Amino acid sequence: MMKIMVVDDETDIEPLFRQRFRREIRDGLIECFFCFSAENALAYLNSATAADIVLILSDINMPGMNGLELLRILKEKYAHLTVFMVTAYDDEEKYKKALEYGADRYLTKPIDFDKLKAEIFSHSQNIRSQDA
Amino acid sequence: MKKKLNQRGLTTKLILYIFSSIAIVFATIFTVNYKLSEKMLRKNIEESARNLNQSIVNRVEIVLASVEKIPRNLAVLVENGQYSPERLKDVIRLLVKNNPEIYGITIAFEPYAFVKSERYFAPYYFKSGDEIKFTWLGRDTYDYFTLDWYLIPKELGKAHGREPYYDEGGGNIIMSTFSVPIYKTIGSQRQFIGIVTADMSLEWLQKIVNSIKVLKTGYGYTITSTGSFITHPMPEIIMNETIFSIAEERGYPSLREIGREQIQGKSGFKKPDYKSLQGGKPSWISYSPISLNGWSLGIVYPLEELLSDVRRLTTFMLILGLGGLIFIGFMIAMISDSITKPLRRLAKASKELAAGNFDIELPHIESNDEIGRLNQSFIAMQSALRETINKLKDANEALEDYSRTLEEKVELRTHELSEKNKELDASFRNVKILSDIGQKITSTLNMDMIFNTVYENVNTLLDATTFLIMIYNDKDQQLECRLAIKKSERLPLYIQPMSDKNKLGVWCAEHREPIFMNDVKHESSKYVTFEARSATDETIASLIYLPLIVEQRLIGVISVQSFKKNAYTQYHFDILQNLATYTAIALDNAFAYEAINRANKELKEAQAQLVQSEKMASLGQLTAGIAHEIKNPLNFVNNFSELSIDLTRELTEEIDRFQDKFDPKMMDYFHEVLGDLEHNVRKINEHGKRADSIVKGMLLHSRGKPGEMQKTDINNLVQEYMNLAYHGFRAQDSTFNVKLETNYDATLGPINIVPQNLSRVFLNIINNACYSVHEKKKERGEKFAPVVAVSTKDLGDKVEVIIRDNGKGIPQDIIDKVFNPFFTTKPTGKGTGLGLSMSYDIVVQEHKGELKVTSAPDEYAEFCITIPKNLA
Repeated sequence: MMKIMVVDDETDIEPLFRQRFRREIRDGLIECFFCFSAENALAYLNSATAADIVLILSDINMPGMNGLELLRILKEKYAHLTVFMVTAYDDEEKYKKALEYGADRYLTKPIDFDKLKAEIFSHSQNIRSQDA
Repeated sequence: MKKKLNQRGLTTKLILYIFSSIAIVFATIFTVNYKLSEKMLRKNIEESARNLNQSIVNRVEIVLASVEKIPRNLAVLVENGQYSPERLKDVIRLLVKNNPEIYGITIAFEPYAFVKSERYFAPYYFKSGDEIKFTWLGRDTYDYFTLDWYLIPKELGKAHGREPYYDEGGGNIIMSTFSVPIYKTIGSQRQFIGIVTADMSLEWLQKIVNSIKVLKTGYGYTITSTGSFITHPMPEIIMNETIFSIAEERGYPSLREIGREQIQGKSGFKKPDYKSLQGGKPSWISYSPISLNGWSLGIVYPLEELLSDVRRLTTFMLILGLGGLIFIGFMIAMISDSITKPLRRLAKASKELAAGNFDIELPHIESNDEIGRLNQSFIAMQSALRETINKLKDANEALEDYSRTLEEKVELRTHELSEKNKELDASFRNVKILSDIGQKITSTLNMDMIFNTVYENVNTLLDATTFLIMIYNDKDQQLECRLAIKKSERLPLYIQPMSDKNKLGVWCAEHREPIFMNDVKHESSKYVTFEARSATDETIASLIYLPLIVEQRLIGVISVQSFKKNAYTQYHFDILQNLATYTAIALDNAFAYEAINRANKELKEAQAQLVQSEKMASLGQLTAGIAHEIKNPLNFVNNFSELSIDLTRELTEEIDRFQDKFDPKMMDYFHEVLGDLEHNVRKINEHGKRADSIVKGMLLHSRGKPGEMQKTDINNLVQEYMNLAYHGFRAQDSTFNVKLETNYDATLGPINIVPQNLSRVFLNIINNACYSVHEKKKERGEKFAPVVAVSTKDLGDKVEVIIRDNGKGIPQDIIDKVFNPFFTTKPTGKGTGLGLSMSYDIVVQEHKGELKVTSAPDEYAEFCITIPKNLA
């Protein structure tokens, strides 16, 4: 069971993920949690229920705190978390900044879910092998 | 009178400087030499004094030892032998007789020890004059048992020498007594039986010591262990004085010190603070002990005499040095005299010269040194002076002559001047006119106005039947006639190449010199061999050509011509010359103004282009922003539509499973609706993906990041971007149409390029091609069929892409500028001027390829791109 948090200001992202991961959710492989702003995400991570989250998928362009800033804080405070950046912007500057702040993957929108699933599972395997 | 040093003569200075320095050197050498030799000498003296002392002491000790041996041996004889009294007396007498140092000997026995009946037994032989006398010692008045010479050795149990004494009776001899005890072994006991005593004369000691002669007044002395003098050259102190009593008496503490050391048995070499007893001079004393009996020998060295050699040597050197100094002084005086003598003579002569006596006989100096040369220069100066004075005299006479005629001349000149003045008044009016003209023409920047003003004024001032202004064109090497007026009519303008040497205008421009002729027929051959003129031309008889020059730059040529002979005077020439100057300046200003206007216009255009490209750049950023924002909705469209396709399929499968529960008609309806639904959603997904690829394309062009090399199919890339360019154009202008011809080399495999950059190159060039044919189409209308042809070709290690259009082509004069940044022929706002320049960078720098253009105006333009296959 893997708990994923998705951070994106577009609320439609929730039905999209729920449908795309329907089978995995049904089979209990993945649990998804959605935050619609970076501030919310940080607030949630401070709560006790957030302890089991292992992966965060975050957009970059969001009102208020942007995804890169969130990434920087996450990698400082929660170094154990895996963070994938998922954004419509694939310019060099943002890409470099994301790598500098320690993003584990940088994926572009429109999201290719087959690719995303492959990345998630390969990463969860990595995490498991590290734990073992 | 005391002179200061620098006022004295050379001789004095030389002697003073050289003499005093040498004297200082000499004095130093003397002092050092004296000190060193004195030190050395003292060391030597000390050494030799020690040696002398030692040898004397040795001699004394040898004698002393041999003398003392006699009583010792006698004592041994008595101890060991049996002698009768007679025999004993004989032995004693013989010993006294044979030893000159011995004055007398006795053997004094203990009471009854030798002869049992005799209390006293002491036979005594002694010298008296040349005789040897005998007496018995010992009676009641001379009870020798209690005397020192007997008692002391007896008590001491060893030999003893008595302090010397002065025997006044025996011829002033110092005597010493040496006593040796005699023992006899009786049984096992050693028993004292008597004393052997020898009286010794110390005459020998006196002789030895008095024989010491050191230099003139040095001498030796001997003292006993109590300090009494035994020997001394002054007999009155012998045995009367001690060294201490003398020291005390005369107040010499150091002598006391020496005495103390002497009686302590020490040796040394010291300088006492006293004057020696004999001679009264400062002396040194060397002393050493006579160890046998504790006496001490002293030798006195008179200091003066010791150092006399050194003093003598020093004195000799001093005399030698002084002699040398006097000699040097003499030599210096000689040399300086030889220098100053001619100088004094020269000085005297120059004083004479200064007083005006130029004919004075100068001294003749033979030598070739500096003074000789000075003299020669002086002689040369004298002759030059004499010459100059003579010339001055001549000039003065000439001046006097001249001043007499001057008055007459002045009168004549005054007359002439008043005539000239009248002429000046007349010309002043013309000058006024000229200056007005000058002001008028130089204040305008319009070329035609300048020409007209000049012509009008020339006409009023002089005969200008024909008037020409030609402008010199440096670039094309020609004279361009901008104004030609003949009999008040403008003639058509013409050009004279500078190579045409038979034109007067060309001559004037080339030489930058005026031509002034009042009889052209006869004078023109000076300038040109043949001046071509039209047959109908009336003959020009007089003319002036003037070059127009500003700051040494040739502006052009101005000319007036007349049919009359002698039409122009010098005055006219001057006026025209003035006018030419103004005209040249005015024209130069006008040219400069034109150039500035032109530059200004170009600047404004460049500025407009820059503003435009800046707009384009910000538009690019805007496009990028929009494109990204579109991607977000596209994300949902694509993903939800994909999901919906799956859902539709699932639903269809579910319905199929329960088909027996539905009416077949209903099933058909379901299938139809679901089929349409799936089809629609699929279309949504398909178009969503298309929109995504369009957005991607837009982003490629707005982004400037360095691309990555990718294996790419060139044919596909060219085709894709040809379509994009075509559709882009169609979207802007629906009337646009073009025939696209493609000829791809099918054998071409994928090659390593940066697709997003190279695609921009294709897009740019195809876009330009479309633009060019479209423009031509708009001009030509229906009869023109626009074609854009694209072909690719495998050249082995390279790939060639040719893009050709049959549009307007590129004019020859700008074809080498098309790759310059910001160069564009499109109207402002339509092109940035960066397309081809960027393409050039991408092909040549990034891909190490070539980009070439060929064109024929109004026929075609062809861009040929070659890219090497093996790019890293």
